[in-house]
Amino acid sequence: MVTVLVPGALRTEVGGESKLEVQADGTLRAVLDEVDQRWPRLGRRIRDERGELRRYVNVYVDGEDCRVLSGQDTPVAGGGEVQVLPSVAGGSVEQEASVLDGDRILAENFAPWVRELGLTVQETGPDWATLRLPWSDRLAREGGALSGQALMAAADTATVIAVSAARGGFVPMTTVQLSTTFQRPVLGSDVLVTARLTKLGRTMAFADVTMTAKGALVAHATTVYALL
Amino acid sequence: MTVLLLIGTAKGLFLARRDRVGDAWQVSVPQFPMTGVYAVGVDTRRATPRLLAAVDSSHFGPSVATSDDLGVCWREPEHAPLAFPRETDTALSRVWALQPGSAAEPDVVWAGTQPSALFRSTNGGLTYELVRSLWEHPHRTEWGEGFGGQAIHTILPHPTDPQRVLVAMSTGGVYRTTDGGETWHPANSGIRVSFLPDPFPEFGQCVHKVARDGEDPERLYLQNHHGVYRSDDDGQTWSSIADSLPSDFGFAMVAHPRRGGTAWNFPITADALRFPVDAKCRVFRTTDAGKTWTPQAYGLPTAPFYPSVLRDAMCADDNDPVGVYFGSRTGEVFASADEGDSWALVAAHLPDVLSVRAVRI
Repeated sequence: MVTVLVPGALRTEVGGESKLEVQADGTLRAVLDEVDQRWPRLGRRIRDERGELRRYVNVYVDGEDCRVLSGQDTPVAGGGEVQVLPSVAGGSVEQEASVLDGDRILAENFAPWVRELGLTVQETGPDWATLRLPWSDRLAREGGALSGQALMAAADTATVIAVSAARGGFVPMTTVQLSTTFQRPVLGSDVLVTARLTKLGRTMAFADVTMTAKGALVAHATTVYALL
Repeated sequence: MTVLLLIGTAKGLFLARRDRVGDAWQVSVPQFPMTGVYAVGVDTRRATPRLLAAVDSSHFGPSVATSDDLGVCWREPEHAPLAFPRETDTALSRVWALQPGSAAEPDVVWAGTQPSALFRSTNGGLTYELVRSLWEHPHRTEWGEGFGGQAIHTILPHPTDPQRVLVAMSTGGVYRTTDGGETWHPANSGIRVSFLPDPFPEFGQCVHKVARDGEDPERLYLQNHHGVYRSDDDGQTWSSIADSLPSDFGFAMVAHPRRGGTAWNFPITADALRFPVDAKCRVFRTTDAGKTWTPQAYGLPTAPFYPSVLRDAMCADDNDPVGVYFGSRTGEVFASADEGDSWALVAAHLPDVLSVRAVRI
């Protein structure tokens, strides 16, 4: 038996219940399949028709975000708890448009090896952008921690997205300076990279970049760009 | 004569109601709060009109809801009313159009979606099936994506011939079927594009809206991404009717439901300058099928006006004289009960207005 915790916004889909008991075990996918069967109105708000988690719905397995575990392949043991929560992103037309644009800029303007980092734009604002660098064993250096080179590439890329967000679209630019301090090792978890512009001029942009894993600061960078 | 105005906004659906011209509008609290309502529809082929709303939660995805009591209660089926079949490996991102079919097919309702696809309902808009013939069109992989996304936003069933349906998308252009949806052909002859090397491609135009003339069903009016056109042969060929407009950019196009040659438009300065021309809040009307357009601004704000009017944020009812309505991205909604000659505010300070439809009840 697995317990599924339903967020307030979705309780009308399940007769007001906040907790559902599901007879399924194995993986999160099996649990959500069972939810689809028994409560289709709830199920389709968590996953789309391809069976993928909706972008702004987060699902936690025993308190851990399934996206930093194995997604829907994350094991769920009997007695486990699956919590569904809407993410703080999303919610506005403008924001959604920016997110889509950001991913497109990533796809169209970066070298193949940077694209292979798997960076995704989580959220953008008038002068900032947050990207997610997903954990991959391929990015680990000897000793198992995430390599600093990957973090620097992520910081560099996040600044380009932040400048693009501020300018309303991609603009060509080149990095003049990128200075990074590495403060904690990252082991097996995604990194959220937030670049915030401290000054955006006609030809120059300055940014402050924080990189966090599981809520803790792991690295910090400052960047300077020439806008072409 | 009571009019019900559906106002789809970025943060929910508002219903405005007025019993007599001159009365104040009664505006509801938002229904489906915090969802984008990109399309609303009214099916007047039933004893009580059925209201349709495309409801799009940025967290929990898109859906379609219906109401048979003029918006008091809304319902959604247990299973997704509109979804791509599993084998397409595609997820619905948004419903952009809800269009009742022709009188000959009283239970048919069409839906246009993002990504660009056409869906058909045969139970009055409760549930929909993908129209595979258009989805499998060889051009589909070459359809582009405008700023608003790749979507079919306009569906015009022919009023008397159910074999004929015209759809428009951005960016892909106009397609039509003359055999009940078995085959689809691009219908963009004469529509210029400003963003490709070939100014007159077979397809790929970024069409913003098409409206069908109320008297002559072969006649259509089209607002393009730069360019305003008319067709007199159900979309087979198009010619410019932009000469007397102050700009050929804009989103909305609405035809008079009965009188031929009459249509309304809300010009925007340019692609790269999305403000009303000269920052003036003005609707333009033609009564001669686009040869001349006349501004209509009596009662509209006289202070500089900057918001756009989006493609589905303008509509007409079927009163006599016809009521015309439009909403802005800054949440103002205006109504005219005399075909645009004079205007008054319906509501202000709403969220961005995405769609409006009016019905006489």
